[in-house]
Amino acid sequence: MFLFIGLLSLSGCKNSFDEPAISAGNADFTHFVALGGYFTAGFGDGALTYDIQKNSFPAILASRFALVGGGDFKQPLVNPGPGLAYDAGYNIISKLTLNISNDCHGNEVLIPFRSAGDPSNENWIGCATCPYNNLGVPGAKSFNLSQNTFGRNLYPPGNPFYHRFASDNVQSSTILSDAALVNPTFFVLWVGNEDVWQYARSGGIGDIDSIGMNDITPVSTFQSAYNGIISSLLAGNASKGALANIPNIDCFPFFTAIPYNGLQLTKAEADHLNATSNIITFHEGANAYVVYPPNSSNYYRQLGPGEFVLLSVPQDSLTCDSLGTPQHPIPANYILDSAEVNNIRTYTALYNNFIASVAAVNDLALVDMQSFFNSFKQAQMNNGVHYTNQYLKNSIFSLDGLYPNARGNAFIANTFIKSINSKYLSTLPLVDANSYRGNTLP
Amino acid sequence: MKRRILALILFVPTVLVADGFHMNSQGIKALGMGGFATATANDASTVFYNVGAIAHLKQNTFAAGFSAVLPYTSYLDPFDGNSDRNVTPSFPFHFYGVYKLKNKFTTGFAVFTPYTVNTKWEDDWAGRYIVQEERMQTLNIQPALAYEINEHLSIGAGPILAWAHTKRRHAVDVASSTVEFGEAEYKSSGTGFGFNAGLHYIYNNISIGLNYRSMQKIKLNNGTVTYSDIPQGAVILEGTPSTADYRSAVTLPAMIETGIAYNLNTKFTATFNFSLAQWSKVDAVSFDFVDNKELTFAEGGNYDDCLSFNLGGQYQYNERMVFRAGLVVENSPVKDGYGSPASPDANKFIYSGGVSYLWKQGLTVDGGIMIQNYKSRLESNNVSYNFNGEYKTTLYILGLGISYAF
Repeated sequence: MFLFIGLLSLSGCKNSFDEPAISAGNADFTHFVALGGYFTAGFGDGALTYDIQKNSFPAILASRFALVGGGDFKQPLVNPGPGLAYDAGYNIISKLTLNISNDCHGNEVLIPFRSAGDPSNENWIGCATCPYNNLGVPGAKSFNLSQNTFGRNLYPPGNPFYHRFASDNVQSSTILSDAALVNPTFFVLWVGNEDVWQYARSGGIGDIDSIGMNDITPVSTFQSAYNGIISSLLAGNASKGALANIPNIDCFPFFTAIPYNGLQLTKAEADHLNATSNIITFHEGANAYVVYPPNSSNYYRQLGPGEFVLLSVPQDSLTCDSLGTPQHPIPANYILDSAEVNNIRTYTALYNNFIASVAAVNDLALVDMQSFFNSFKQAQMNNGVHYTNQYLKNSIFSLDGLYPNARGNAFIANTFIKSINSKYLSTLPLVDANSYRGNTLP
Repeated sequence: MKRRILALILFVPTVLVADGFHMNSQGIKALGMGGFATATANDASTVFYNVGAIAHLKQNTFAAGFSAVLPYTSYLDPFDGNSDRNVTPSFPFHFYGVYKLKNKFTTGFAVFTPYTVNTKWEDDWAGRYIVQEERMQTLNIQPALAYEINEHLSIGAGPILAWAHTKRRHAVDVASSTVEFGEAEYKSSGTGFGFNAGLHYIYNNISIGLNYRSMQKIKLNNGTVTYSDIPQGAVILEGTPSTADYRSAVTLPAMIETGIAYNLNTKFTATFNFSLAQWSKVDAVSFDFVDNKELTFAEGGNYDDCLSFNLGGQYQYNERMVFRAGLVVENSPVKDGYGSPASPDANKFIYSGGVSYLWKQGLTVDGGIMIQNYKSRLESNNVSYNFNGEYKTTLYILGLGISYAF
């Protein structure tokens, strides 16, 4: 009998499955190019990093396209390590990592911090391995894709993330001309985020209907730039591709992690504030933060529902230095007030309507990233793990609270795959998002 | 491209959270006929199969045996698939005794394994955050008393003392620079009670049986979960404790079985059995944490009843040898969308065969084999874990036993 058991264990007894069919459908993935901004480039943990570039959603898509005839997928990779990021003065800094430290109350907390950057990441890698298939450039707005000044070393209008790999970074190349070098048969395009998000990230300090770094691009400018990109891509061999729309900011922890009424007061603290301020009445428990309106440091007000405190605010000052009280109102560049939120919402909707109409007119796949990010307002179960849009906790977002970690990129890639499969009748398999790395904890 | 993914798991066919059949191997003679013996009183295993029928046994008897259970489950993931293979046979056992008292009373005693789970996937497989390993051992101890009302009709009943021990391990989704994921291990044990009653009727060459086994709720009050490989950052963020105590329960469904046996001639007996396992009355299993209430969760539940139809036969080849065969069709109590890799159940078709050999006066050696073919189960819209894929299981049971009558 034991011999029989042994034989059963070692031999036969395999259950075989039918091989699932994998096909490209009507699409041709031979030469694939991805265009976009932060989301497309593989930006996360506040920097362009090797780890997330390797797992950028276009790279994950390319790994699936490779099953059905997709060719090489080259990316302008930075070195492994601290990645590439810039402070406001264009000094190189590292990505964010988490440290354990003690706050002023003696509680252990996780603090994201940056250390020294890797200056060699700024070096021009040019055409060493070009043409590049991932032309996502952090900070690229719709109208930057056809500007030959965008790759030059005067920042701005030049962009250091493009300057380092533009095929001609002295004079003439543009992101679109570099895309043409790929001779693409299939493209994904996710531009427009920066056109409104740069304004959102900077606390609404820019203008609307203007083209400065922190402004919201005029709708007409966005539309003509978008049309220009599409005609440039369709002028080559590519007649097929996928267009992604722009998510709302209210599902990103950078905007939502700190609640507008996050000022927690004891009875004594509330009494103390009430004794020194006769404008606002505080009470025990949760109170709305006190902020300065834009361009003002003379008077202050309390935030209301639907307004946001940005994650860029000095959080130790919130906890320990009375930031957010009448003693230290929060400066306007850390706040999105209701007028600013309304601007962002309005332009996002206008851009998205246009993107949808372009997809319809040109018979391209439309990837609804707005719905995708909205869905994470409720925890999403995936292979036994609950994913949230909270900051750090089981999150699809990296340590910057804005851009996805490798896991988040895998979910985004799956959303593209579903949309492409549906549009082009391809049968590309999804990826197992759980097998991609989430946030690294200390 | 090769996309054949093999995950081999081992579990004895009935399961903690839901899998619909009794083990089929509590008696080796019954094993050969499909796992049912409600109408046929063959040996001391009748205490299990129909407690009412022991009063119709003519002699005192003992039976003991064990079986080897070898389930092979393959999982095809909808992504790339990883090879995963694990073969660890399980050996459920049983012991029965029947002793004739005076005045038409008969007493019986049974110790057996009603349900066992033994599932083990590779630690890094796609479903690691749901289950890496799941084990449950159970034991029933049951005294019985039966009464022969007349030569046609007998009845019997007995209390059941049930014991269970469970263990489960799954990965925890936290990563540091040195750890890919953490681990959680749950352990618990406890006892419960039930009862069993049966009725047996013989008329000429026809016998009819009815056996009822109540629901058994086994309370697991000493549950402990132990977390390991949890980065300090996760402890700060989530407040993950190193250990936490919980209370839970295992519920075995009530089962009603009825069967008819017909002796065509002195050599050949045909049987038909039907059983209903009341899984629909089994609720989700709740894990109630005593001090860490945020960890409390529930899973399972929402089952269908499980129906089994069995056709069996035995043939007296000569004075010493008896051959048996059986067929069973059975539905899965696990609804579409509720499949779990802890116990990948499915509708199934079962066939079996067996032989008995009369070695010496009163001493019989029994052997049986059963093959259970599960229908392929495709989870494409999994509600429980959003864990999709295709499962296929084939399960082999080999049984060996002896019985002695005096």
